Amino acid sequence: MSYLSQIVNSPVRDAADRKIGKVKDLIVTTKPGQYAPVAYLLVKGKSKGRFFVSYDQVSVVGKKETVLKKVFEKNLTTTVVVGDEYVNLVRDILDQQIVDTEGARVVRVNDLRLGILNNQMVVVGIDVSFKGLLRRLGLAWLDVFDRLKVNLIDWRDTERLKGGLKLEALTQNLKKLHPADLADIIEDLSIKQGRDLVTSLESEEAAKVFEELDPHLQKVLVRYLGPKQATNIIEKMSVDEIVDFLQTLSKYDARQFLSRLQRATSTKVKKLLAHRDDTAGGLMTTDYITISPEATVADAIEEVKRVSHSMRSILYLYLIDHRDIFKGTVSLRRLLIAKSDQKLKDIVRRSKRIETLRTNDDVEEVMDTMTRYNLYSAAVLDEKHRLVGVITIDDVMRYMRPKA
Amino acid sequence: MLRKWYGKLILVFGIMGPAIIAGTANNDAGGISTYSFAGSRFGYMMLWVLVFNFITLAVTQEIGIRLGAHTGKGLSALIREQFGVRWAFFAIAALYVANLAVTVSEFAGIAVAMEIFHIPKLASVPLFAVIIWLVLYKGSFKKVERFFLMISLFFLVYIVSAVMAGPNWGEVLSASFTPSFSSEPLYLFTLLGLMGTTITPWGQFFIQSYVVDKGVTPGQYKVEKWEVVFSALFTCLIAAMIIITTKQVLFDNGIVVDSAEKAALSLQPVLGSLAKNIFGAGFFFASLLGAFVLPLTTSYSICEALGFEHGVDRTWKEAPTFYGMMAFTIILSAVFVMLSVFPLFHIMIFAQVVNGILLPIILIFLVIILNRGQKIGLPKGSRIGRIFYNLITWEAIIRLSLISILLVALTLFPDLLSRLFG
Repeated sequence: MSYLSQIVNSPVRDAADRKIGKVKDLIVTTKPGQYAPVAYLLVKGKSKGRFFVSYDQVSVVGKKETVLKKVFEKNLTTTVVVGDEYVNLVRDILDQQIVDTEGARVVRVNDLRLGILNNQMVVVGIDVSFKGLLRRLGLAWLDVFDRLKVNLIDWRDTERLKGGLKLEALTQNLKKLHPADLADIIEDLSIKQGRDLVTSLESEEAAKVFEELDPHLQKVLVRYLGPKQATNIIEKMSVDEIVDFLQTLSKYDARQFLSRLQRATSTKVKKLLAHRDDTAGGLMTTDYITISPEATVADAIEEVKRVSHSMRSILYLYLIDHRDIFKGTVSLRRLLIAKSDQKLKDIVRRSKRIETLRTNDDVEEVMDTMTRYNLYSAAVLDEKHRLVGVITIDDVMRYMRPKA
Repeated sequence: MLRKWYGKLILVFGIMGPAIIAGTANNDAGGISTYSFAGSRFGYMMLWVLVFNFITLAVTQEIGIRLGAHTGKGLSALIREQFGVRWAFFAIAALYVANLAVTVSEFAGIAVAMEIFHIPKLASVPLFAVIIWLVLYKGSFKKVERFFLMISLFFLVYIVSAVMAGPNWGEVLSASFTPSFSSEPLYLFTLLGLMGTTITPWGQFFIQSYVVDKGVTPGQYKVEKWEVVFSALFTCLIAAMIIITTKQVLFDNGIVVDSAEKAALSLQPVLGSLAKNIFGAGFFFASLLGAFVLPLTTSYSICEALGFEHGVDRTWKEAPTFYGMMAFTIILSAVFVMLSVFPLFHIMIFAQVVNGILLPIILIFLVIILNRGQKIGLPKGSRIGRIFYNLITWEAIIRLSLISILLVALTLFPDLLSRLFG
């Protein structure tokens, strides 16, 4: 086991023990989900400049020296190595930032750990520790009592950034991540890399990630994406998140955005914008399913299937009559266990009082009601008892824990 | 048409800031002291330096925002990525020494200002060290930032006082455009201080990080560019006004500024008997602003280069090195000022000289990175532009290095010149 920093600048000898130069870089081939095997060594010759030696020609690569299998001849070397699959470890990886997909963060590479797998030298891990930094600076001896720990990240869980994110590879590792984790990574990246990452995602996925971003970064990112692309993403966000976002913009910018959204979305957004953002009216969303109490269970299930694709989550159906008056809720669970010809008004939850919220209830009251009655979601009514919106638990959660 | 114009105006005000902040903070207490000293000791002899300062400051800061807007990375991250860890370590070591000197100077400024109000430094320095730490740690600096900037506009009073002092403007103009020189070590010392206080290593790192943090797009960069020029002009104009004021009021009367009280004297014609107190208050807030900004930007740049978690939105647990380094810098500077036997006013000027000596190192990195152009994602610029930027930056690097070397040589061998030419 050795580190890249120990191999770089170590001497290269041939089979006749003649010194022919120094190792300057290792070139690996990368494949998603695999440790990267060393393919070539970049050697700085004693006088003849730089050339590449294929890994097949090498018998030992080590801290002290690298030894070739044969006596050195010029025809054993190449002067160029081209191809997208090749990565120069010193040039492209060392000291650069890299995405740690396991830890959902961006780290700076201090050193690389190399190992032997099936007689082939491979990159096993990325050293991001302070100890790695000292080793690079030639100050490892400072750690006399060996108190510092090496912190390695598995090579297979990383995504390199230099030369732009490799979008094909991105699908492999990053796509498995939760939008919130992806958002964390974007917050760590430079704004350009962040934009590249967002644009590489499908607009629905991008919208979910966008919702999780810090409001300041949202604003900046929108500028970088340009109006067209930004609108495409924002349109896919849930209505209450769009409202939150627009509220961080200046009036002028917000109006511009609003005018670009589709008519249906912008009408909903405008309704919500009328409420103060620390009241139930400001917190609520208008993405929910309403249905008449006279409808049957079968009708309701059909309705869920029909609109499901446009909803972030569905926990309840909200019953309203022809004048929008709120009549109660039916959970998906109730729908499942009821007979399909039952009418919704017969299976609606019966209690003396259904806990609902008013549009001008403030955050404290909202949290109070929802925690006291253990509600996943609560209906928001206006003064005439008409249903105007729904607050779900995730809208309130961020007030319970700051900085989420 | 009108709407377009309106949008543009919003853009200008929206991103108004980084250069103005850097520019105003450049005229910190250390700056005021150095300019006052230069004016009262050498009269108009130093005015020409300010013209050079203006050009260098505008160009280097412009490079900073250009790198920031196009790469989205801070200067220390770029140095690490382009030159590897050893060079990065060297650069941040130089940066740290320079920044520590400035932080010491800011604390000295706080102490000096408080002494005007008869509060001893052993009381004021620890008190404000704790306050500064708490504000930075709680991440509430952004809230007070604007307030401080408003306060530092107080130094506009020097424009009034310079005009009221009734200088011979013809003389001022000719002194500004005719370089004068002296081999007196104190002259070289002041010269370096004058350059080191206006164009600072920390300012270079600060402006780039600020632009990155704010997410200035390459499109907005064109607007920002003019702000940089304007703010550099503003910075150097204030400096010139201080020199003119102190020349008229103090130099002509044979008074050399060697304390804050004497620096305050120069405002007496304008502010009368209140001069001392008003100057003291302005001096205090300028120092306090610097004492906030410096530990923060120092820690930020260093952690960025070394890859430690950083940013005021992190907690102590998430970013221990970031906060640890900040605390270390504050404590070290505060203790140094408290224990120092040297006159605080001299420390402040000396800190600017240290900056002037270390600045070339940072500028060399800056100009090499700039020359890597398209490799790091900069748009292809015109050749003439590139030559211009190189010329200005290398001129500053060479000028600073030569003066530093000369200063060291003359300090070690006072009779060097006479031996050479005599």
